[in-house]
Amino acid sequence: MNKKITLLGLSLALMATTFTSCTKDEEEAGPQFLELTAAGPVSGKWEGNSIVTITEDVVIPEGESLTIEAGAQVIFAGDNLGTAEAPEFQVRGNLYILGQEGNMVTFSVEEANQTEANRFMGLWGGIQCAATCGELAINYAKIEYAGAPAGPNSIFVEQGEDEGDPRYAIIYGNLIGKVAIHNSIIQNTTDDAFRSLGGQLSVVGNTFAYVGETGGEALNIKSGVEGDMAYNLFYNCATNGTKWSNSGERSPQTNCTSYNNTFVNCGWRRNKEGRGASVNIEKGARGQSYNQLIVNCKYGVRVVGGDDEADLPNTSVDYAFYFGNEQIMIDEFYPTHGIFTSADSPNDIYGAINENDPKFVDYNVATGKLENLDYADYDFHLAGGSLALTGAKTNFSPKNGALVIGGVTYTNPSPSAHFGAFGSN
Amino acid sequence: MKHALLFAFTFFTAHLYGSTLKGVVLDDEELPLIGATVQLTETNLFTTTGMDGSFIINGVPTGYHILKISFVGFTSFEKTISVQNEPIVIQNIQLKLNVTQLTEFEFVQDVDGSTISGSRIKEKSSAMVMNVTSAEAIALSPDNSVAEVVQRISGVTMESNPSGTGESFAIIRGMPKRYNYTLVNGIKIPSSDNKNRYVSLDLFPSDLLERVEVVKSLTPNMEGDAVGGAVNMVMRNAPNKKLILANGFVGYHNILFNQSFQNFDAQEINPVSPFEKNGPTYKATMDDFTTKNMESNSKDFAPDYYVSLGYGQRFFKDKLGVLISGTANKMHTGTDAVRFEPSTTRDGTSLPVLTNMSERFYFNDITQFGLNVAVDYQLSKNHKIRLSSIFLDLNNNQLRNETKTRLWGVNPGDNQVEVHSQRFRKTHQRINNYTLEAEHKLSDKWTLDWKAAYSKARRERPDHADFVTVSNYSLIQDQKSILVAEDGDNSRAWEYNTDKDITGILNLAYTKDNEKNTYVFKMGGLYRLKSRNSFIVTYNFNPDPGIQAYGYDWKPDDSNITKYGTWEKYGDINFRIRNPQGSTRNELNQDSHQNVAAVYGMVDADFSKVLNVIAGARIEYTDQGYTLLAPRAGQEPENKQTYSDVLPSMAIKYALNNKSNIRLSYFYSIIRPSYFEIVPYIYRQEDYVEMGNPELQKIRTHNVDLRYEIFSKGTDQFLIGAFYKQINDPIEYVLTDGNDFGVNDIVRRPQNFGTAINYGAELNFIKYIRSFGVKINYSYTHSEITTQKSLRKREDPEDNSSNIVTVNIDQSRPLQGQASHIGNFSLLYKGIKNGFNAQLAFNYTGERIRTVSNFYNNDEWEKPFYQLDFSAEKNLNKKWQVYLKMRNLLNAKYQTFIKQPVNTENSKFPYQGNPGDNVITGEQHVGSSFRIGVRFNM
Repeated sequence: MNKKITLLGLSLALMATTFTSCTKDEEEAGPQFLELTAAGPVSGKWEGNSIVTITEDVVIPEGESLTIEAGAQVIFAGDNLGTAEAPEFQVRGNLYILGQEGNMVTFSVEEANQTEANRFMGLWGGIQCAATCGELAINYAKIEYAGAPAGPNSIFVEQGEDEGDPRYAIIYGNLIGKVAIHNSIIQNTTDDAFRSLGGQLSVVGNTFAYVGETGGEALNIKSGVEGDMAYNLFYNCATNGTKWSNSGERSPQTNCTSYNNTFVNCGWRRNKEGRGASVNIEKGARGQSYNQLIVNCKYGVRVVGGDDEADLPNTSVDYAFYFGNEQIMIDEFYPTHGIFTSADSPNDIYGAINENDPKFVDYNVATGKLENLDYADYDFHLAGGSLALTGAKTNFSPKNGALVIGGVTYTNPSPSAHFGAFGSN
Repeated sequence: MKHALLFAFTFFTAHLYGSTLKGVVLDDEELPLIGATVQLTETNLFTTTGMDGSFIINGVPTGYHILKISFVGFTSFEKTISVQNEPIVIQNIQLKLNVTQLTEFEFVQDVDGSTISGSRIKEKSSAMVMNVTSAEAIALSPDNSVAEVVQRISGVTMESNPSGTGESFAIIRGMPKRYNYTLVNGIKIPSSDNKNRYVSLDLFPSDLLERVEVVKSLTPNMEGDAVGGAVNMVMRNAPNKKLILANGFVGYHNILFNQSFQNFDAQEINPVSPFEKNGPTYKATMDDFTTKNMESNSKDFAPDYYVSLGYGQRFFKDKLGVLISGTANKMHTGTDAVRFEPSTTRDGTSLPVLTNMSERFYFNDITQFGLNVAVDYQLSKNHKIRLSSIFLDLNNNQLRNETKTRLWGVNPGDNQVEVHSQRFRKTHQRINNYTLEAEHKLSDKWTLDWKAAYSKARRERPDHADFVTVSNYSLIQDQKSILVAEDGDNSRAWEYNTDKDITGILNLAYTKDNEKNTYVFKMGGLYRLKSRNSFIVTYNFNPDPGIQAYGYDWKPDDSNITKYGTWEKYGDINFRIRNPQGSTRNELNQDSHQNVAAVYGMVDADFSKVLNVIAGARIEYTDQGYTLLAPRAGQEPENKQTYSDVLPSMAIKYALNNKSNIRLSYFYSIIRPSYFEIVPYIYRQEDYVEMGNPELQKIRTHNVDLRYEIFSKGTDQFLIGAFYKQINDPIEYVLTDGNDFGVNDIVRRPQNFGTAINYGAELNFIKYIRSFGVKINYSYTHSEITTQKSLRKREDPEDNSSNIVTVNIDQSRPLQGQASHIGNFSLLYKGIKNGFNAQLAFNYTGERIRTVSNFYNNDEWEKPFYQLDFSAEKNLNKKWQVYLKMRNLLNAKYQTFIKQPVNTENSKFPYQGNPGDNVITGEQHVGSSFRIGVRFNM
């Protein structure tokens, strides 16, 4: 008899408990997928060829770990998508999502639901990390369509957010914990893509696209966080790409370095004025912002003054490369609702309408705030002759050299001489 | 105790056209009797006695007449007199009291507490330290509501409400509302608040009352959880003879002369939410929500009007007494307010900084009904039973318009109007109370009385809705677009809470008389079952598409923006419901209970009518707890606190002579945590997490009071007293490190803190000379409490690069709401002959803390407040009266500030002073009002 194990039979047997890897027929050519469902407590490992369907909350219990290997697909489905009962991925222990280049791990919904109409609908509940989550690593993953409203038992509510509010795609908050998000794509979220309430942070080499329906930042950092955000592409985010604040006054005081990021077309989906569209530092936080490439965004780098003032003696921003194709963008390179002016950033590059074209390999900067185009169709590397290829600041270090999470070292790369996340091809 | 009748006659020269009859009428204690009816029975000549007991009748024809002097509660005096050509002066006609022994809170027909002189008698003979205001005094004053009346009593201020809803809580002797309780006819009433046990006095129309008492010391037969004192509203009883009362007025709140009144159609409101109508799994759509109640209308003419009727009568040879009285009131009020929400610097200086200015106008459309029915029946000489029921209904449809300006910069042009919002809030409160009570004189020595009461309070806020729009300056160049706000700011909630009480009280007294001394041994008990529940469900809405702008012909500059909508009223807007199943905020969906069982024993000893000593103790057993209806994982679904306390108290009254007393009293009391404070709630605010505290302890207090009082003539009074209170484990809200409670954050929670001290002195002076009177009271209060505050600073102040941290630091301050100086000054004129009365009343409340801040040195204070009110009445004849009442003639405003200097930038904002002046955090302006009315009194 064939030693092939029936896929459906295995899925029934593995309901609601931890599961182990299964044997594969070694003569089979091509990829074979293991279709599984998961609910309730999970831990151990999900192998690269698994397709895990989740229709109710899963939770990694405190003290346990789950590793998801490259190629795995995690699909959120069921009748409750988009509601307060939509399933979420709860992490009370540790989570290691270890995708690889060309073989990502995906957290998404069924293909039929991956539509433009659902872009901001928030179908599932996001990766909700409780205060006991020690380590979170996300490498080469695609996380999309998260943002369902929170029900009363969500970890989102446990972390103090309001029931009924859209859950963030990823929430984390452990003052003595560590988070690394590298090389991933986080897109199509209803509100924030990533919110942190504490811990050491490294966010490098990602793409954040279509973040926030009518508000929401890509990286919304509150007090208790020290870390780095570098080499990311922020495309069409409702508000900021990187925002950090000391709100909540936890210890340590938030201290972040944001450098070599590319911001395109951000800040246009927020009705309230003045909240930022690229980089924002506020409420007693400190840090640095260098080598940002900010194109067609509503506001430039914003350091907040007044009662929400950032820790000004310990905040420095400089070496930003600005481009705008409308006067309202030019007027706000130095946000009127921020405290810093061009005098505080003497090495910025900025000009009038359509001046200082960064010369992206494949993206037309003159075309304005297009709503429906997919960033993946473009190439944001810098073509030869681009003014942004040289002149950035290289004589500074990231806040943390590297973070070791789950035995793997996540390095924060050195700053580059080019502006933005991508140099020449 | 029988009192003898006394007579004295003297003679004067005669008036030309008939004689003059003059005299002075006294009561059983030889004090002037005010308002007694003096008549010559077979003529139509009559008058009433003045403030000093005197009367004059002119034009008395010569001959024999029967002089009859009567006053309720006294046996009428009759005498035949012979009038010649000379005037007759009859001095010191003393009437005989027609009552039995006076005890506290009795309803036996006795001295009419609804009269001014009756109220002085109550104060004088009371066992507790007490101030009384009678219905008669209320009618003569500029006041209409109980809150306004109570404010004039010494040592009392009202907690001011910035939105002018009329909601009012008494602060007695500097003790905030948590430390006082409210009674109706001596029994506690349930509260319609969803978290606390305090009752707002604006629910009670003063026409239903016989009198208001503010009791400042407790005796063992009273409930033991007050520190400042208790407000007791004694409702009208069936009268001794037929009574018909009617009162009606029309009036206006002057702030609405220049501002048309905006309101909304509350009839359109769905009384239940989609959640309750269809169940927890139902996903609401926009069709489930009404829109007409979210569209405001305005009217130019918005008067106040009021009518009340009362009828009382005795039947069956006065055995059965019935009283029915009811009131109906419609009021339109407005409040103009501005608010700056302060934050503090992070450099260790803790200076306030301002970024937002909210300008608000509140429109209150208030409808109020009250009904009081009292029936008493004298079963026999020794047994009497009484049934009373009270219905109160208060509905306020409040519309609040708000414009919020973000103060970005120094130049006014930098400031942007950011948000417009309208809040539609219908609040409907009802209180029902049914009390059955009886008194039995079992024998010469034993008396028994009992009460059984059922009360229910309910508050509903159906479709409490926010309609929020934001201003956007970039969609159309050089023009402001008004867009529907995103982020779920548009919300609608349904909220209900109910509080039910069943109370049983039993008192037994044994009197032992020997020659000179009387000992009354009293004992009794109380049992109360209280159950409460509360519920709230909220829906949040986002505009869909995200851009929906005001103006049917609005078009954005950018032609790439194709998805947008336009609107001109709420019904035009397309929303997407963020949480179609509704959010039921866990902890506010709960049942809670508080059951109290108490027994007491005390002795009331009277030595030769000179020294009166009351001493005893009360034991109260408390069972207070909650049940969460939808607990979260890890949350304790049910919990309770049980404990018993022994509460001793003592009151000594020494009569220096028959006009003056010295009083000394001591009582030990407890204050229980509020129902919600012990629930383990967790809510995240922007800067901290709010948490409940199930470990919260009750507050324990010692209270001592010393008072010297002189009652010189019937209504005159001089009182001077001092008090001292020690408050152990007071409950205050502080910011603290949440790690001690399992939360990785700064948390704000109620905690017990050390000890607070409160002491002060009160002075009361009332004097009448013929037709003029003056009333002065003044209190000085000093309180101090030390609690933990937060301070944000650099870890190492010398090193600018060290981290910013938040530390705790102790700070002392007075109790919230306690003003050091409070005073009332009134000038009264009561013209007996011309039937014209007038009163000019002035009230001063010194500066006091309005809001306690979490941060060091940032408490918000309220500036001293001066209010001047006026009232005047004219008797048209014996039964009819017209009157005018005017309030807040000085048009005073409330202003709140922080005692810290405003920085140069903030000083350029509207409403702020010069750099270095105190930071202004708000202003509220309610304005003056007047009413013109007619009263009928038979």
